[in-house]
Amino acid sequence: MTEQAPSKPTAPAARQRPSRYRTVLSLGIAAIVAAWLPFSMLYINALSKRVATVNATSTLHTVSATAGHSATTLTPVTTRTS
Amino acid sequence: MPATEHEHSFELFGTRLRVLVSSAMPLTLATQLITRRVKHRLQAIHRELTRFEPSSELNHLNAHAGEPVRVSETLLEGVQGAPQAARLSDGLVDPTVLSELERAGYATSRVGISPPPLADSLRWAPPRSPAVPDPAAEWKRIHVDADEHVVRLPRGVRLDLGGSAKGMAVDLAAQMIAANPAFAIDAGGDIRIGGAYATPRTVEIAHPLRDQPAHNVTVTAAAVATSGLRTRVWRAGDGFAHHLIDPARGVPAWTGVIQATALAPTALEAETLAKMALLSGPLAGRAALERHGGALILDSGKLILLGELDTRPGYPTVDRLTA
Repeated sequence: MTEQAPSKPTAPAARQRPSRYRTVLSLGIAAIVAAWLPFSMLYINALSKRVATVNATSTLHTVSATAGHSATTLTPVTTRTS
Repeated sequence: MPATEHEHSFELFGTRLRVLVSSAMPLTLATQLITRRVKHRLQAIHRELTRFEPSSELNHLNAHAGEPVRVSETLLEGVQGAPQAARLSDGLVDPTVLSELERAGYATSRVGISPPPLADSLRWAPPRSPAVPDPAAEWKRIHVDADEHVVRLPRGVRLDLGGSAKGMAVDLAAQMIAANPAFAIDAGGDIRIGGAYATPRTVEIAHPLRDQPAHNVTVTAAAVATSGLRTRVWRAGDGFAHHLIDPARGVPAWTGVIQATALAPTALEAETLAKMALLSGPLAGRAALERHGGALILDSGKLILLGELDTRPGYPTVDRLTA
């Protein structure tokens, strides 16, 4: 008769708990990914750049040194009397 | 995602100083902050170690030669670097030739003053001969107490930290940004290249008599420095003078070399080796550059590649240099 009454409020609470859990979990994963993403990009970028520049330099080894050629995508610098 | 290279440049040490920092992200606050910190640190070094500002700490030390003087950490490092350079060059790169330098006509800053054509000065110059170390070697009598931050210069001796201070500053700036994927500090003649990832960068060696580069070299992690006559030459009386003093004779050295470029693990070392090679002349200068590599340009404009730059054909690559 009255024994069923208390069980009613517990049903939404039971549904809420996994939902909050999922939210917290998602936020946690998002935070980890956000923190990791720049480092992964640095790593991937450095790897890809290294391969590219090694190839470029190897090619240039077969060419005599000429003015104004850049071996890498990094900004060239000039050493001079200052 | 391509790497972005951020450049920050400003006038310092009588040249346009460039700080290049590469990162995978667009311009970040962190990059801006680090380049600002580098700028402020280098400006502080310049303020304390320049001989052209009457209020500089170096001038205070020079004015009290013969007495123990308490100095800042920056001046202490600068003073320690000068005898280090003298020792490395067997006394040729002598920091105590300031009076001779002033007598030759370099008493005030020459920033903004156009030099006469180098070719004119070479036509006038006396017979060429290698510079010689001063037998008195006053630099050996500089007393440094690093624990107490106290320096005592020999009586009558004044220091010019010009080149070594710039080398030291470039090395310090390199330490501050070493964790970035790739970086370059370019202080005119003195350059330091490196970064967390070994990424080659092209370094052009300017030719002092021509408009095009004398040579290119690809550097991964090293310092490159150039010493020469082109920008620090001036008319003096009926002839010409420049800023590289023969320590034994006390006058500008005309050795047959007009520019020397040296590679080394640090900018201070590269700067010292370049100056040493120029002062040594075409023959002994080769030995100075043999270990890490370098280039000499003679009065005739002829380029001589040495060490690592000579052994690799065409477009040489220099990887990480270690002491």
